[in-house]
Amino acid sequence: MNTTVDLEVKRRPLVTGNQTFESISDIVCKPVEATPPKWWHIALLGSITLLALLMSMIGYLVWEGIGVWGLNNPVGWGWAIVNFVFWVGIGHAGTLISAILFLFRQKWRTSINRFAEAMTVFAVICALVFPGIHVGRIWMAYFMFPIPNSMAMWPNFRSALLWDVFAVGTYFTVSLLFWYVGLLPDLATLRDRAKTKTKKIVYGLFALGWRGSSRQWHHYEKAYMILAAIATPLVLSVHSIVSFDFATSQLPGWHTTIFPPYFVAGAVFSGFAMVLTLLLIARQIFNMKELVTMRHLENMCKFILATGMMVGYAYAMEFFMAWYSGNPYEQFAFTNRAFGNYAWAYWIMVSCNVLSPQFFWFKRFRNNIKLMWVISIFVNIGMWFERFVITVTSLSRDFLPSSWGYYSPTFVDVCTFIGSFGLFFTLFLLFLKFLPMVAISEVKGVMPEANPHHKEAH
Amino acid sequence: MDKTHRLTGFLADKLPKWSLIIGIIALALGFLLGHSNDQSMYLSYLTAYTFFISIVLGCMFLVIVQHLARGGWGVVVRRVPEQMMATIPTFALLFIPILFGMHSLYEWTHASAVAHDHLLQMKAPYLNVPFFVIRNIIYFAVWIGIARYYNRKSLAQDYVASDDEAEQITAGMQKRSAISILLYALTVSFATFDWMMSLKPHWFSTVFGVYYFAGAVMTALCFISLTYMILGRHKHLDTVVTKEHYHDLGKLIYGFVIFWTYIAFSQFFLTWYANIPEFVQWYLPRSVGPWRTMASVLVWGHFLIPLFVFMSRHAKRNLKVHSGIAILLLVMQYLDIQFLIKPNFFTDIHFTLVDVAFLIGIGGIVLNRFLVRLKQESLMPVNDPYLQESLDLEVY
Repeated sequence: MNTTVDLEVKRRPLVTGNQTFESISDIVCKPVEATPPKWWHIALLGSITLLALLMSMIGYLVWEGIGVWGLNNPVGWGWAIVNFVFWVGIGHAGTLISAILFLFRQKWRTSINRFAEAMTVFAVICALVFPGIHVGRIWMAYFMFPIPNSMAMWPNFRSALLWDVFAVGTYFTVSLLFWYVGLLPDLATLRDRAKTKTKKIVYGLFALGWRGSSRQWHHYEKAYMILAAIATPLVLSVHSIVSFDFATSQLPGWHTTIFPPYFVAGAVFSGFAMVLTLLLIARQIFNMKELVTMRHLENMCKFILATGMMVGYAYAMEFFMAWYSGNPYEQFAFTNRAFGNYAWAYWIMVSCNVLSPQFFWFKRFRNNIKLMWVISIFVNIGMWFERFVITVTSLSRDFLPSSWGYYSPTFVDVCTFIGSFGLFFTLFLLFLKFLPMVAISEVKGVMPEANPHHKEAH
Repeated sequence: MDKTHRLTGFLADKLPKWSLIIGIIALALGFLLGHSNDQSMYLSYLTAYTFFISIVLGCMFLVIVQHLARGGWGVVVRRVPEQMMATIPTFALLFIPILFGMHSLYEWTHASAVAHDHLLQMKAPYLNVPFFVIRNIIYFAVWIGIARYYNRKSLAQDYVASDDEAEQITAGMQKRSAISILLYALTVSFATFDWMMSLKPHWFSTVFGVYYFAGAVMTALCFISLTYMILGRHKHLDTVVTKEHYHDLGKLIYGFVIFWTYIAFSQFFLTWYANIPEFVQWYLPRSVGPWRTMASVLVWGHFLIPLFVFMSRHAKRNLKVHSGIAILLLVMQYLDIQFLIKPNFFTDIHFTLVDVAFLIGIGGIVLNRFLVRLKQESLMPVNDPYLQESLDLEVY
């Protein structure tokens, strides 16, 4: 091997270490088939505790009313919307990896797509909690759906908040379907490997009679392609609509035309960071270093760098345009972000989102697992703060100084947010136990052995 | 090196010669016909100029991004954008008339206008003649730098003796692609603000740079597709660039059509919804009279027709349909540029002989520069490490 040439030019294998089809099934099915280890029980217990915290906070909120949150007069939107956008954002990596990277024939996606899709589904569930409970009178939440009722009342179709219901609802449905369709062949694998009758029946039921015949594969791949094509615009539409929640207003700092693509880039950014955070741990614990190789991790780092730069571009454009506009309110909104009461939050956001990914310019850092993990945590934090900065700084400084205020969360806000991680991790741990976390059939498909001419002499 | 991939015949001999002659005559005619009304003439010039440079900038993006993503499929269709983007020095020269026309184009260059306009005074640190000139020098310096680097390296790769050397060149291009794309994004955005947004200096939109970029990449893809079809008809690369490549180019065209629509819709929709005077001032003249019709034409031609016609795999692989859509979109890009520039000044559609003259003029000169470059070297990067991948492309 010539070491003077950067090896990057050569295509690196997607699966390393002399794996066979059988060994891949073994590696991926092992966590599902083996008795769950101790740490899994402890982690599940911890998550369920947090989930209980979430439930009790919601109960308290419903009993007492929205007043238990830190919302005040100028700041009518606080942590609830911040958490909503945060979780929806996290839920973007899955569909991007499974749909957009599929359309772009990025074969490296096969090792991480299942994992990311599962995260997507769970993150969207967490996200949906917040607008649901934010309505105050939760028993009226069905008003968000366009159900004609005896009072002939309809939701306001001109409200971006209503579009959210449709956008996120569609996104959730399609993501779930996509995830499930992808799971079919693997569920059949689990069924065929099952040692007990119950497992055989349950996995068999969900495998929908998958036999793996070429006819089935033919239809399956068509369906998968069509779903990918349907899911692709959804990756863009959901967060664009979420950005409309802010951008359709007339508030300086909210009303800016770059919001839709900027939010989408930010969502992909945060989603990849969360995938990386969890994947780095999972590949260690479940011994999947030969399926999720350094190549995969490097690619994800590059994605984080690229989307981080797009977010940085949007920050820069907003600042430039605020100055360029010559509008004193616009200018104030942005000076206030950087130097006002919430400057601390702003600088956390900038350092986490724009500065920390800069390490990924260098191959050395893209191969350093510990640093990668730390940066992914920073990005998660930074993206939460981005939504906080957007929501709170603009609201807390109204047009008239007499209506200025300062927002701080209450313990209910904080505990609800922490509790939402309980919901997420409970679902996630269950997923790790009961479903294959890597797409077995897809990984096999990108191995050289999958090529029908593989064994022919070259 | 395989000598068979050389441009020969009409495309190599007669066409560049005639396009240069016709181009120069048309350019001169444009200035001759237009000089009675400076403003109108320079607006026509700016329209034609920003149309053609959008193809070049789009090509530049596609070349950089192919290295950034380590793309393999598109190697055989990379030489045309590589040679097209290398015409950027010509555009630096062609920018000189805009500098002469600044006073007619940009209100903020008028000291008297600035004196009575608070907003223009606020913007004066950015919108002033020396800084405008400096910025444009920076843009062209960056673009020429990127274009020269990628063009020269790729051409040099054609002549290397060993695979190692070829890989080293590709490694270098990949390495510099990230920083190139960053510089590209910033320069294209600010160039868009300077050239087109500041025509109406009170108005601003944060997404305007992305808008122009989206249209530019789409146009470049159409240009690339059409160029390879024309080359194919002249028996160049007709067995190398196959339906598989057109299919992939078609997908990208389709994607960028939708991306452009997404950006254009976002900008329009947020402006319409919030209905703040300083934002809607840009859309108001575009929402009445003939410009309203133009907006509908864009909705249909730039979005709905390609959306439905070009969705199918068969359409992308049918070269008649493919070329039809590509031509339609090139026309739409020109109309879009008209739509961005002219309503700031005219309440009616403003398409004169001068516009035609400048279109032919700038187009002819650029075509000459492009073809002269193209015929000097191989029509495809023969030593690219991913060439085989690109030749073997099959789209399932």
